[in-house]
Amino acid sequence: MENYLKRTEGAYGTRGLIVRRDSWKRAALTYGPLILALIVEVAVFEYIGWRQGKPGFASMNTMMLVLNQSAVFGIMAVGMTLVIITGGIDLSVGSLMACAGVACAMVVQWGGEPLWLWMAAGYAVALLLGACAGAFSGALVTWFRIPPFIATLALMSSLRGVGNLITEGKPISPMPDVYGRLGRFQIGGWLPVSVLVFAVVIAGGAILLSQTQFGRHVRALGGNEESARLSGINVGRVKRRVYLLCGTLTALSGLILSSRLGAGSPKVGVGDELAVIAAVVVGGTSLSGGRGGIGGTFVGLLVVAFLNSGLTWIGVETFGQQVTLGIVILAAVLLDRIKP
Amino acid sequence: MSEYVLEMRDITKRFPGVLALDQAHLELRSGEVHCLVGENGAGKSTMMKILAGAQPADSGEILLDGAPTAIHSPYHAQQLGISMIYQEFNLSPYLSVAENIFLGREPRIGRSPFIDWQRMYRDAREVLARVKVELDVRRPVNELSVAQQQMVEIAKALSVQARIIVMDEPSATLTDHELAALFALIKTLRRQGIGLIYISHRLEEIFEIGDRVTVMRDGRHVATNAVCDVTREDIIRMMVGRTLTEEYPKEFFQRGAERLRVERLSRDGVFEDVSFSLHTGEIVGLTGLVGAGRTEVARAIFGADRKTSGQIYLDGAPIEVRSPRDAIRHGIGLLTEDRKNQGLVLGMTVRENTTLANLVAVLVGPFIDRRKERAVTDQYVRELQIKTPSMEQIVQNLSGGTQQKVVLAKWLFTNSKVLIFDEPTRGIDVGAKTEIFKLINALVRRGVAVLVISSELPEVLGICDRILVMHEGRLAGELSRQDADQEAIMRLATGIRAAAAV
Repeated sequence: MENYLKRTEGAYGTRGLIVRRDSWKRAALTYGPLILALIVEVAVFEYIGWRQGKPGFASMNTMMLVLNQSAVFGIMAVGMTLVIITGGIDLSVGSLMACAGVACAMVVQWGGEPLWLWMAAGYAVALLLGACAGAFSGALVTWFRIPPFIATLALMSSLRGVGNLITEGKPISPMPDVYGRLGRFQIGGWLPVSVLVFAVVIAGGAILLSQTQFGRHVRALGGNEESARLSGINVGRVKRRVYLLCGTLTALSGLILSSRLGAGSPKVGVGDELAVIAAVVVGGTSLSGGRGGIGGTFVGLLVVAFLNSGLTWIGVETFGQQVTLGIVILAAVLLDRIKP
Repeated sequence: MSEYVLEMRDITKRFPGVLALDQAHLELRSGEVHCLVGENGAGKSTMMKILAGAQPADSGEILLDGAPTAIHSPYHAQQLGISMIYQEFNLSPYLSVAENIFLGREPRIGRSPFIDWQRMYRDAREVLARVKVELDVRRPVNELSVAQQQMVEIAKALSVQARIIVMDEPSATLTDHELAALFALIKTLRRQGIGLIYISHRLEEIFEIGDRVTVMRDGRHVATNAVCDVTREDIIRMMVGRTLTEEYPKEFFQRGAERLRVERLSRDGVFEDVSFSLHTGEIVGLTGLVGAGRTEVARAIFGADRKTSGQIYLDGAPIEVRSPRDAIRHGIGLLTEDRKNQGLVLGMTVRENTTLANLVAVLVGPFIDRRKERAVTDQYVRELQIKTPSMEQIVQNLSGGTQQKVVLAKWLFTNSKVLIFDEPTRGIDVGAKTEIFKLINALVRRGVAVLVISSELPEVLGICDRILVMHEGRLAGELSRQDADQEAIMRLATGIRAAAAV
């Protein structure tokens, strides 16, 4: 690098640049309250359970259960986090997830033997479908300048319709036993395959966002699109890749869900886009773009998942859970507001 | 009755780590234009925010007509007759002039919820007549010019019976003609007994319109004088707290080879047939009235806007620039006029902004090498004397001059061969301005070709070797440093001599 101004203007001095402590401090400020909330949450459920004569909520068992339950949402949430950081939104994930499951199940059922080959083909078709749907959203948003909310709202409706049309509204089943492996098999009898996939996606997403050029560009254009463009960033391409990634990950979620159900159902995932957005928002990612991270989303997912399983643990059923989730979303956003 | 309509006494305000105001005071008479000046960070805006009720003071008191008054909120301030007119207007773009003027106070038919449109339009016309402005009160404000929108803001202030009006940098976006209209309006307001606080970085304006001037520095009141008792140099000295040896530190270098040549550049309906060249070792100025197409030319060269025709040559070879990306690859950088919205990502750190345009240089495979990134940023922070507590500071929290240096660091890191500065000193205080000019000199010394777009004629005359003047989308002429003076430039800029241009 050529040095233009080497000490030309006399001795330059700035105060010592304390770097590491700063970034630690910021990380602690960002995730600290959320992690604290999570710990408090688990403690509260443990206490109430104990009072009810049912101790043992805070256990590895629950942890694994919660992770397993979060896997489907969690994989989608990684893509959604990136989309939201660019200042966009993807409402089509619920429908797309169902379509991906249906597509895979149809391919497997239509193909027959050898099963492994048609399974692989089914996965490939589903993931390709997800990628195409994501790319389509991205194209609408960048080339045709349709607001993400509207573009993906349209896609949400159409994809739901497509899923129902090709299956005539009925689930594709029964499926062979092997089909359930991805969603149900536990490696070594304790580690579910889906949790492993979830962990890989989370880790990959976190590295992608915080350590790579692509991730930096995503955050920059979410913070200020015009500045990013004038800094030579191809903002359209970055956005299209983000939507493509979100679509592909959504298809992956759809595969896991369909495997768990042992069927390709066009009815699943209704309203899931909102649940995913809720987890992302609870995790501190700002809907106005530029601010947020995968770490936050992960903790946000855990907060929501522990909430649901904790409420079940202490005997509060679905309706009560819905009310509580609403309160938690508001509390999380308020917590974010009062932070310095 | 007190001598002053407004007195702010011993106002102290502390922010985490900074003493923003230290027993500052300000007295305003009715019917005077009171100029408030100081470098960025001197405490002017904090003082005004306290007056507007947007922030509470830690200590001190505010007296209106001699009576101590607590101002609880911006709404309360408005009720007390204090109106603020900010640089960014608080108008609702799709509502009409009348609707904006009476926003929140719409006259209604009796006690019904329905708006009394007749009365609203009539009242709006009356208020506008008071400021001697003719506007269709039914027009949506987004169809108005910036100057007209400002008039609407002022009319709005008057309609709430404002006795004290604060104008924050009102002239920044106005053309000379519009500025004259604004000054006429200010004089009208003064005759009506309204007290005006006028904040501006353009010292010339103080002498044109001000009655008294208060200088602030480091959160303190330095002096208040009648404008006729002080000189421009006095004010600058009080602002920076020392004698500024040179406001425009001009250095001369050997004019070198041609770096950039622009031939017959056009963009339909915006500018036409613009040709010029930049050499190493010189600073070329591009000036003209607001709207003459200067910024647009720069944006087209940089690939931010499409050009309709024309060719750009770099070091003698034709280059194709279709996007900012292309321009950066060729070593052309643009420091935009609007730093906050176009130059920086405000929510990101100094480090992240510095490397934004050339992340490739700090990559290892697909990953960002943080250590290298820090080393690079650290180097620029030191060399450009970027006044930040840490490179992890979010740039939103830095002052205008410091932000400009971060933008400069970003472009230096791309190894730019050509740098275009669009209004590099807008909104930057006197001390930091000189520093920016010194940095520009240092760039020229290192072989960078520099084009400076500026509306400030003293600035253009002070630092440029050659001056290009635009008029209505065309290059009206070129002046050498020896031939140029304000009058010659203005003649070209207003088109008087356009036909006889060089």
